[in-house]
Amino acid sequence: MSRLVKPWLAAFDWEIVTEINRGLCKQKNALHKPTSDGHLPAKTLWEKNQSKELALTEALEICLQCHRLAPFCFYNGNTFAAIARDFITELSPKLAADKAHILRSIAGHIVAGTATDIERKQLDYLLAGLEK
Amino acid sequence: MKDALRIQDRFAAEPVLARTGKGYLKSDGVITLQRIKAGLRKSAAH
Repeated sequence: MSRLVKPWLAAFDWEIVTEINRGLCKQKNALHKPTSDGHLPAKTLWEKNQSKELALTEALEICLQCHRLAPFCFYNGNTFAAIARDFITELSPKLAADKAHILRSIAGHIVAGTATDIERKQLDYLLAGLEK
Repeated sequence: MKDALRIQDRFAAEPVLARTGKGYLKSDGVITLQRIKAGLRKSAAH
């Protein structure tokens, strides 16, 4: 099995996701509250995939989808990008420091919804290198 | 959480992606990457 297929989201149950958002909102004195339309679909999507074996790119897409669904009133992008950057650091010891930084950065861009095609290709290239 | 707080100012507080379909992220620039590369060059030289 590929080293890059695993339950990437397993360490982050929905309570942890909520706590991260609570902490971010508290830092900026923003309202921490679930949204009426996005919270349930995002929570359902997350919990459906939390313990699943996922390719790394699939795990990043789940984070992006949850960001898009906006389960919280504020700081959704930061919440899910921080989670992605956190689980991706597991790969850092296998990479040179500059490549690990690039990988973390691209993961953040994908979840933020700002990744370019070039960045996605760069991600594929980095992941292919890790699978060798 | 430390990293989440460190990058917090790069994100919009509001759900921009949900509302507009386009994400928003303030650029971090290349300073961090340049610093890492300089460190790698330095350790390779020694």
